[in-house]
Amino acid sequence: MIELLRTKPWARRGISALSVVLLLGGVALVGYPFFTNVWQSRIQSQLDKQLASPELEQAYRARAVETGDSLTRIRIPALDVDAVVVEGVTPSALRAGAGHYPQTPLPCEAGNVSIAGHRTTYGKPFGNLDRLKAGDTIELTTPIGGCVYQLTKAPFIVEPTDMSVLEATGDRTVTLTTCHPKGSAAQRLIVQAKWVKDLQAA
Amino acid sequence: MSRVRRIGAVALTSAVLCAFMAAVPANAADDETTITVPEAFIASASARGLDINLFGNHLTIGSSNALIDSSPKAQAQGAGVAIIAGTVADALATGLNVTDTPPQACVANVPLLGLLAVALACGEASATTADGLPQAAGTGKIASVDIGGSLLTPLLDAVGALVGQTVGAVVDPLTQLLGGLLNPLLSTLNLNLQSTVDQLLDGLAQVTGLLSVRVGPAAAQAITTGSKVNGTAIAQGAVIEVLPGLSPLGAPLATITVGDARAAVDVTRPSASTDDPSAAVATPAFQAALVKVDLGIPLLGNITSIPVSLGAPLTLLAGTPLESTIAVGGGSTGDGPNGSKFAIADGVSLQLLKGLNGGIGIALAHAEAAGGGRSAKLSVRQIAPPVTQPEVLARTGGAGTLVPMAGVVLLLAALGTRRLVSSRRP
Repeated sequence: MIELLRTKPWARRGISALSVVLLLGGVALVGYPFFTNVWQSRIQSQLDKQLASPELEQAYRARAVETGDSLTRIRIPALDVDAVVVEGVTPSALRAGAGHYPQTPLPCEAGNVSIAGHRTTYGKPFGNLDRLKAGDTIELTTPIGGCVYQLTKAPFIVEPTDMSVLEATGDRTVTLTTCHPKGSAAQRLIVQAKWVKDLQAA
Repeated sequence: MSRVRRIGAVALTSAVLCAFMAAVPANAADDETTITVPEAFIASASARGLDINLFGNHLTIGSSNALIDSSPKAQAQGAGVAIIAGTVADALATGLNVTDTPPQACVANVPLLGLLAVALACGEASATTADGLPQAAGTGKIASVDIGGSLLTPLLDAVGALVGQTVGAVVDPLTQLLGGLLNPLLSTLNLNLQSTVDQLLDGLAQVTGLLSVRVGPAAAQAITTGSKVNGTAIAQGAVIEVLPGLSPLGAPLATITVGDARAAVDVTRPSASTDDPSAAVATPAFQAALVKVDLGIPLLGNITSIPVSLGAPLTLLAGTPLESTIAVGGGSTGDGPNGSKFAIADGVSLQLLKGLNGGIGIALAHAEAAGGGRSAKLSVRQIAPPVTQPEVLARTGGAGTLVPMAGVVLLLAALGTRRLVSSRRP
């Protein structure tokens, strides 16, 4: 069989074409994380401008920010994270890197503000979330103000179906979720922090 | 042949990568559609009648602002003197069919900083959103401003060395100063320098004020009609008399007449049926103030009226304590964010009596306007459907490692097939 493939011109041409297809497919798949990062960077630059626009401020005040639109900026100094978070956690919205669970309060409001972020692709804003420790801070800046949260405990791991981490709380908290372990969606890594102070509006 | 294959492979690789990149935004747009959204527009206007800078003290006299948007909202302010609350009127209307027309705010005989006096300063403002067509208007008015009083003493000190001596003794140094300005004209004009300086010094000893300014209203309005949105700012003209009591001439040293300055932006409102985002067109325009100077003393021979041109500042009495410069600012139009436009009439700036502790800076007749709009029908991201509680926490990973590993497998397979083909060759 192998000898047939080697000797027949039509077989040689077919194998040659197959090798090119495999090569191209391999390059595309190996470069997939890189491509998602490039795409996320393009989205972020657009979201950055949108976050500063008066139209978004108007929509935010009306609590009418649409899925995929800028909602808040998240900064985690300990991890050097600085990204715009969009509204919604649909796969399309999460191509921006991080998204706000729409069923939870808006940033800095009373209750449990929850945000999901990619860990290995699309800019991987939550790539090193496991390195956070109690005392580290998370800063959210919205079109109408901002606030700072502080971790009270180390990150922990839950099952993907454990929705209790999004449940309402009596005080002002923020919950960050991302997939765990890296490159897998088998579990979720959770970070929770409590509000410590408000920031002046930009 | 192998070269051809390599070129072909590279080209195909590029095509695949481009297709891959293009596929990402295509997927990203899978929840977009064309829908009808509320029309959006905004227009604003701002006018300033007079800005005075007296030895570091800055005052705005006669100012107005107006703003409307499609929320709907209308807001206006008119101020006679911005720092005197009794001369400021504010109006605000938000939501449908709201009207706010506060009474005119006026204060008579306003003393400011002990350096100038405003005879009457008033502010007016009105705002309404009746019928969903927001309108806002503000006006700042002042009767007149007199600058003088305690400023006269340092002025006389500045020329005291000259005034305190006989006229004959001071003619020579002044002639040198004025001569530097006038020498080119001496041979052609019928000019008696000694007589001119005598008049000036005699008059200085009797002046009662430095400047008298009569300035027209500064008005700003923003209006909406069925077909367009407009923001217009008008700073009406002013007349400035420098050393108004300069007897025995019976006329000021100079009278500066400044014309109206205006700036406007028109925004067309596209019909509700259009889906062309460019249909909301903003058109800016400005008219810079014209300036003319009339001289009370024949400093330039028979020439007593001088127009000041854009880009060509006029300096009078150069080298003397009374040196003054007048410049016309012109104006500009340009693009703002989100397709909006703006127009600015820069007004007129004067630096008067520079020999008097740095002089008096005045900016007159500044007007600016801006506006923009958006069609009522656009391709936008569809409003999200009612939120349903997800059954699992958001999936934010899973392919980050496996996909590149699969890619490596494909690359190894490609290498294997290539070796299979090439091993046949001798």
